[in-house]
Amino acid sequence: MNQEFLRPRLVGRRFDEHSLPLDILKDFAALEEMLVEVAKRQYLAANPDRVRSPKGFTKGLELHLTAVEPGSAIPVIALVFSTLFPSADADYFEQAKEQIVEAIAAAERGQPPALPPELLRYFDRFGRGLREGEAMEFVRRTGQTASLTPATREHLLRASQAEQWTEEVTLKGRIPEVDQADHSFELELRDGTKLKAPLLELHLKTVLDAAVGYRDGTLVAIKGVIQRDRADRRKGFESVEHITPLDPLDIETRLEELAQLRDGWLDGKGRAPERAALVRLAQAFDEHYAPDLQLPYLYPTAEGGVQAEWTLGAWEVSLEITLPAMAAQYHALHLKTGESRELDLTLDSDDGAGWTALNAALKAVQEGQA
Amino acid sequence: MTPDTLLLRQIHPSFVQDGRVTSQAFRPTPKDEFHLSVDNGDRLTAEAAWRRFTADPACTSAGVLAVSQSECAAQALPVIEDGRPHPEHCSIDFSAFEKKAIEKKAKLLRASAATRGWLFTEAAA
Repeated sequence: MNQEFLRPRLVGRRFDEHSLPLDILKDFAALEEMLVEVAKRQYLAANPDRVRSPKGFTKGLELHLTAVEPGSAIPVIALVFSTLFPSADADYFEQAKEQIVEAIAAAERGQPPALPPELLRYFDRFGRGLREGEAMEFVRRTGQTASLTPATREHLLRASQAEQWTEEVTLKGRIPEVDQADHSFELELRDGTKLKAPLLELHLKTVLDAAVGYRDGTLVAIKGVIQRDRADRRKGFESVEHITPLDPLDIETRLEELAQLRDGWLDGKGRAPERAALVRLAQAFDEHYAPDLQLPYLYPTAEGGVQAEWTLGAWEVSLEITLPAMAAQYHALHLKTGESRELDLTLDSDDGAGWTALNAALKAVQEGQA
Repeated sequence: MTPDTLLLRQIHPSFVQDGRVTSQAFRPTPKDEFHLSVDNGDRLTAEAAWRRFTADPACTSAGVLAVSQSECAAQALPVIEDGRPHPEHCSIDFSAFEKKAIEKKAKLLRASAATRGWLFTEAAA
């Protein structure tokens, strides 16, 4: 038999479709382990004459995902018993759940959580799959909500007195060095930081190709788990999931580069583009730019905007984008005939009409490149 | 100055992506009052121009590209040998044109300079 145990509400863009990315299930597997350990502590606290929990304390008890309900996404997690009736040990699971939720609520308020440090270390894996802007909301006994976010998770890990913890990341950089004997390689980030990573057989070719292209600026994106210490320093990859070679004109990567500019970047002149506006522009390109078109070259403008450019045969095309307004001026010039085409576009309208017009204009130029 | 005189233009590193230079490098910014700064290539090598420019800690350059005086003349762009702030300094004068015309001329100048190729790059320094 089973009984409903937990209904956390997952908030964030990834959960808007009322479904769960499989990635996040790893966090719930970690939560299950944490619940067992906290429940054992509860048992020992209630039975001070015992030095350890009884053998088979959690036998026959498992957490199962039974449904995903809308709102953004609410996984329904049940406690499943192998017996006909709920085990008496199930009460300790209920108490453990409450303790964990209260620890999250305390961290949210900036207060020290009541759980002991060694149990708080389970937050190294529980909550690790959350990205910026995402949250897992739990209902407290009082009816209030306790929200686990990347920030509250960090607070809990700092309270755990751990010297370092892990984070799921996607980092971009170049590969300057491969040590095949040591089964490792280094990823060099834009700021020059080098992170050691384990080299798996299935990534070998991609890593070697990227290392050969190091001097030409060949970039890769690595998704994996890194260690970070209390001083917020990245210490290296614990594991690597994916390595993806990036196009030299990868839009998101280039806009991240432009986000590093500061006011005065152009020899004392030049306004830096707003970081948030660049993120929005990268998302808009991702959502609306036709995938069969050549990627643009992207440059900052002195006024804090971005200029996209294409060389398509004899056509030179530019798109000057004013930020944060996302108003754009399209200009295409045929270098031999002098023919000129111009458009004023709005790239932030809900219907994406500006992007449709841009895609059509570029397609017309690309198809008649002569 | 002759029609073949090369006008040396310093290229900011952010104006280069994957080896390609933006047309913005060949038009004045709004603060330049319609005058694009170049050096007279008859009087100064590209390397010397780069070294002098980058000696100022506030200035960075990925390298030097050039357009000729005749390429400017073909765009009806006068070249002024103003000699300020140094004797070899010249300005390409865009003041007779509106923004759209300036953008068009910048594209044509960029294409000429790109065809000619880099005269000096930071990597060679």
